[in-house]
Amino acid sequence: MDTFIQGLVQGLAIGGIYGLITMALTAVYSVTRLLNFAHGDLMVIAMYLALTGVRWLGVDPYLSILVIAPLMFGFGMVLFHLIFERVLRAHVLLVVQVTLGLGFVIQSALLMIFSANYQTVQSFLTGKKIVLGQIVFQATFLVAFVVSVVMALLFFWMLNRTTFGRKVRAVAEDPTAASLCGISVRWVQMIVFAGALGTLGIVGPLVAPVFIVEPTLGLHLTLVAFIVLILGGVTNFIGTFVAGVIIGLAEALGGLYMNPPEFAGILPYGIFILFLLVRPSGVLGR
Amino acid sequence: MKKYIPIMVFFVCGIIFSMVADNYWLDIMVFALWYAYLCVTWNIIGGFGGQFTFAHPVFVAIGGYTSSLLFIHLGVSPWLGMFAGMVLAALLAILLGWINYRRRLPHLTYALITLAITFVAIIVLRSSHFLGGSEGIFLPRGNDPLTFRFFNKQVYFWIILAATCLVLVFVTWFSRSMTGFKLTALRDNEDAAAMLGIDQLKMVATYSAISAALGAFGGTFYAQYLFVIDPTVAGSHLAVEIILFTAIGGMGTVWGPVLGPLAMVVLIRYLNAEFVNISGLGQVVYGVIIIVVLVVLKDGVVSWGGKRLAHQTSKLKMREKRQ
Repeated sequence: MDTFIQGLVQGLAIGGIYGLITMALTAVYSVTRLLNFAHGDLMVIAMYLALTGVRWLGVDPYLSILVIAPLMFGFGMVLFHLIFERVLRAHVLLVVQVTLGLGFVIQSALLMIFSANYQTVQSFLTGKKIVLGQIVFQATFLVAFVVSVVMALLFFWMLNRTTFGRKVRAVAEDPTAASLCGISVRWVQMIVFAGALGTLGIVGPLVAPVFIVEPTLGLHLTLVAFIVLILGGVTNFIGTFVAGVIIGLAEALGGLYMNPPEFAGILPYGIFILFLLVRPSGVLGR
Repeated sequence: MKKYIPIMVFFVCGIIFSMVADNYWLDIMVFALWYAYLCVTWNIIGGFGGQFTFAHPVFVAIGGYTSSLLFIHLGVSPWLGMFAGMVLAALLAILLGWINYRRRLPHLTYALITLAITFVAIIVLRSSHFLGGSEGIFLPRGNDPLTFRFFNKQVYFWIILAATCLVLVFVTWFSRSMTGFKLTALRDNEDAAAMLGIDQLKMVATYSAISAALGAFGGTFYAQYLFVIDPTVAGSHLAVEIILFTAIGGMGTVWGPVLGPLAMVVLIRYLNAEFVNISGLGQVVYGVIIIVVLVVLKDGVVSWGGKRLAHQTSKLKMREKRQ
């Protein structure tokens, strides 16, 4: 029973993180119609930045978020200007090719700088346990889960209650009409894209102590984000979060109870294909 | 017959190269041609059919593993065993196509399904004892033409050159045939194609199967050339490489997927040999080149060049008419 609860907490935490990664992907998609296959690789950059902070500067990953998130935001603005803005009107397959190329460059550059070794990131919370009655779980997971929930709520609030959120929704609905109303579509797209990367800049260091850091992690993360996106229904943010938690739970509990445990890695993909066969409109489909 | 002349020239150039090159260059060009072969076979369904698939490495792995297992356990020559691999790969391709078409899933879902399949394949291969785990399967070395084993690298070069040229002949014929036009029509506008009475499922399943089966031979060749087949060959990394090599040459063209990998593999090898202490520099440079080409030309090199040429000739014709 104890291991089950621990798996549950772990799954919830990872699931919340998956939900958050996917929200960033969805936000970019809804205002630019760009499917970014380099999404996961961009997050891996943030994880390696956290690793660099710990190894060479001795900064705790949670503290380094204060630097990494703005850094990723700025990087997002440059990247949008250099690459993404130029393919906005291109065919969807060209966008896939370009972003795959970008992911490939990031992966190769990380391999070049950090080598292919599996690395772990230590934080001051690593190894600390939280005891609630008979339930014991790791503090790093709890922090990841709480932050992801807070971020998601912040995201909802911004989208529904602020002027900028209204602009974002207007651009997502109809860019032409939005620009006729005096909204700078390009500006909104750029800020949302940079904001998504900024989010990854928060998520990356946050999960760095939980995940094993390696250069080829990116495409896996991208695929998980896409799976969560499709399972949750493309424009449904609550569905996205639920789907993220389902995938996270499947991974964590599968790792505990499946034999051999490596097969747990198959579960998210199996669930994905099963859903496409049975219920292609997603978890909370209309 | 005129349209097959470039292939004959390519073949003759290859033969001449194999006569003069040393083992170092032969090895590089065997790999470059292997990539070219995979890109050309991927291009049948990925470029002409617009079915953006990541599953090609899985078909490669199926081909390599099937022929190697048959050879090791039952003594079946890989020359025969490769056909078993081709059939298995074709069956999987048909199954994937069916999953996609059963529900008329939105664009790119197929890409995600096939990407998921590559991750599943690598996990299954790594954790299966029968399939050799992460080590893979080792083939006994030897020099026996009947069981697809040679010490001479030239022979491997001829085999992969001939295979590439044969597939090119098929693609050249196919790209100007009625079925080829039907497939590209499906890619460009599904609804309009359906209205013309084109059976989507049948077309896509047929050409997915052909592409997968030809890809499986690439796997058998890989296993026989290196005398080993391991799970990394099924990974998404190879899929990304195939897609990017094809993209820089030009998807849906006959020569794009040949020229892209030939140029890029040589470039990567050169950069990695020149800057030995910065391992991986070749990959970074080539990735940047691909991004720049795609973002600037909005297309691969061959398709962009083709469009420019067509534009120029139509301009000339207009001028002639006016005079």
